[in-house]
Parts: sequence; C-alpha cells; structure tokens
Amino acid sequence: MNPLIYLVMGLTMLWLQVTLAGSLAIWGVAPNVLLLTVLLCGLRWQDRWQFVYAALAGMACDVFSHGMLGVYGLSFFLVSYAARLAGIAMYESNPLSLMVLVGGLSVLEGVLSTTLFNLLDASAPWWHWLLTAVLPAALYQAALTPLFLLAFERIERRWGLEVTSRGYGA
Amino acid sequence: MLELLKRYRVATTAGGVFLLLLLLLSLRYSNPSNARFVDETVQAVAYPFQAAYHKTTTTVVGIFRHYVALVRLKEENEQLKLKIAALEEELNHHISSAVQFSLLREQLGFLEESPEQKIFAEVIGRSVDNLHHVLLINKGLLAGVRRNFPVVLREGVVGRIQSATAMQATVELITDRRHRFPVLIQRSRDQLELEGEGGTLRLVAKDRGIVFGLGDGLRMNRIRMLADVQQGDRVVTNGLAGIFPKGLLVGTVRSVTRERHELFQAAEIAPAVDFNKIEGVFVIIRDRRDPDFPLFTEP
Repeated sequence: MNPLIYLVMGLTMLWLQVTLAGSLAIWGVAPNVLLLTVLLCGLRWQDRWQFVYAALAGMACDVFSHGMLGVYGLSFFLVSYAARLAGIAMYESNPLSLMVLVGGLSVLEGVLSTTLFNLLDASAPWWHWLLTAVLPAALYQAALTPLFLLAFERIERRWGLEVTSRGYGA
Repeated sequence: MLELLKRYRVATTAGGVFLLLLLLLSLRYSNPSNARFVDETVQAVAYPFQAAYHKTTTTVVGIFRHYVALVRLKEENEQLKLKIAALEEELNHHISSAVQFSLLREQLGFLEESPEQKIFAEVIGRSVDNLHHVLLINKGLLAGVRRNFPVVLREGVVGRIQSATAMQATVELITDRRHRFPVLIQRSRDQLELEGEGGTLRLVAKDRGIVFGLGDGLRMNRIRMLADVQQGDRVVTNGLAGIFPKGLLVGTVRSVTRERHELFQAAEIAPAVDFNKIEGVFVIIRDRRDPDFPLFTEP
C-alpha cells in the first residue's frame, strides 16, 4: 500500500487530535483518533507499513502529550501487531464486532502504555489511570468505530484498496 | 546489501523504529537525565509543528465558541442580570474593605521593593492524551525560563516548568499526578501537601492526610480529625518546597465531610484556576535559583 496514504491520514488524524479531540471530551475523557486509525488499519488492511504508521503515530502522541518519549510509540506498535493478529475476515465488515475488537484493543494499548509508565515511574497510579482514563477512552473509541469505518470504506473505494481476506475462511 | 534493504524496506523500517523505541525507553530507564535531553531535542524539533497546530486549533475553536455563544446568549443574559444584582450588593461591602486594603498594600509594597519578575507566555499546546496534564508555552530558555520555575495566573497557581527549550517550555499543571507541593489552610495555618492526580488534585497532610481533586474540583482525603478545615477556607502555597512563593492561592474548600466511623475527615476544594480556559500564563523568573533544583518529591 502506498505509504503516502498513511502520511496523509496520520497528519489529518494528528490535526484532528490536537484541534477537535479536546472539544469532544466527555467527563474529561477524550478519544484518541490516532489510535483508532492504527487499530482499524491493523484490522482491515494487513499492510506492513501499518507498523511504521503505528510507531510514528505513537511517537506523535508522545511528543504532543509531553509524557515519556517512546511509551506510546512502543505500545501503539505492539497493539498494531495484536490488531493484525486479530484482524480476521469475519470482523472486517461487521461494525458491531469491529467495535468490540477496537474497544478490547484500546484497553490493551492502555494497559501497555500505563504499565510502561509504571515501569519508568513507580508512582504512576496504574489502577486509577486504568479506571478513569483507559476504560472510558476505550469505550469512546469503540463508539466512534462505525463513523471511522465509513471513512475507511470511502478511502478504500476512492483509492481502489481491497480489504485483505485472511485467516477466517481463507 | 542495498538490494536486500530495498527489498525488505518496510520490514527494515518497522524493525528500525521498534529498536529505536526500545533504545529510547531503556535509556530512560537507565539514565533519566539523558532521556530528558532527548525529550527536549524532540520538543525543539516539533515546536514549529505544534505552533502551526495551535494556530489551526485557535481558529477552529474560535469559530465553535462564537456559534455556541450565540446559541446561549439569551440564557446567559438572564443569568448575568441576576449576577449583577448580587454583585452590586457585594460591591458596597468591598468598597470599605478596599480602603483598608490600599493602606495595607502600601505598607506591603514598602516591604517588597523588588518583587519577583514575571514574564507572560501564550499557551500554544496541550497534552493530547488523557493521562498527562501539561501545557506548552511559547517562551523558553531565551526568555529566561528554566526548569522548575513557577507558573501562575492572577487567580492562583498553575504549575511549574517541566522542561524548557530555546523557544518553548512545557508546564506541568498542578493537576498532573507527578506534581506535589506543600500548602496550608490560610485561616487555620494547618500545613498540608498537594499533589496532582490525573485530572484532579490530591492534598497530602504532613500526618499522611490526603486530599483528592474531582475533575471540576479537588477533594481532600485523610485529613487528621483535629485539623481545623472549614467550608470557604482558602488553600494557599506555604513556600517551603522551593518552587512556589508563599501565599499563592490554590483553591477554596467547598465542603468538609466528617464520618464517625472514619479515622480521617475529607473535604472538597474548588480550584482557583480554571485549567480548561488558560490561554496565557505568567512565569516567575528567579535568576538566582539552580535550574535543576530538585523537587522535594524527587528521589
């Protein structure tokens, strides 16, 4: 797949994350649209560039959140691998199952990143973050999945991209 | 070799990025001060992008706010009329206080002939994740900003400088869970300690009493039962941590809860600063201070 698509998508999502995600916050929890696209790329496209995209999207999150550089980069990278493994054909066009997968993988990413923060800074409130930030954000991202699925389908039609069939029934 | 790299360029790039990330994190684990240098370098490189993103944010949010303002105009008008009536009554009371205040201020000005120098900085970015509470400001080392310098507003304490590059600096808000500093109840002079807790704040008393914030406010927990904390009490910095000058307002006690079966009392605090609406801040410049002055929470 053309890496240019990832570049344009990444810059657009970063712009959305910086400009609009804060305004979409519910009870202080904002969705991470960069993570959402990382997961959907892994679940639908099965392309190797997705790993580079995931790592760079994570590093952008690191820079723009001023946390610890590399934490989101690594957790996005690992979760994109998990998304690739979980991306079975039966899930691809079923919004409900896709929502469940995105929610689950978002929690996995949250657990990975908060665990890394906890490893680097023992005082990090792991449980508190998990309950007050990771789980609500995962639910939020799952709820936004159908919307992003529509956008992905438009991109796929516009660029003539085919969703890779693999695993289930292949 | 080049052919091989070209053939497997995607896998090589992905592997390279993965190794770079692992290296970064292991560096941070083994030597945090070197990692800080990397962070500051990356932040300096990212500054133009962040500034550009800030411009677009301001524009988009501006359009949105104008629309919302129009929609809520009538409702706001009614509320403001009620507020004006209440404020007029309050004004009469304050006029007499103001006369007394101006006399006291003259004396205070005499005592503090050289107050701390402040510089104004515009907020150009915020954390995009839900875990950290930081601001990015457009003043850095060139303007005299250094690590651990206090950041304030007229309303009260905002945070401290987490890191600074030539053109920008990162402000760690007091609501960030990494932040902790001592405070006192202005009326009773009971000493407490405050730390950030995600989107909230937590105050820890010297006898292990703790105060948590709750999103729109703060909550004090595990305050010893004998501590004199009442509704309306002002919580101010006590100046002992070496970060904030003494007497800066942190918030006011909204309510106090005392349960018979509990060993400690708890209280909610309304923060003095609305952290969601900060557009500019003041950094207190202190030339004589060591830029790497350790926070008392650091090991």
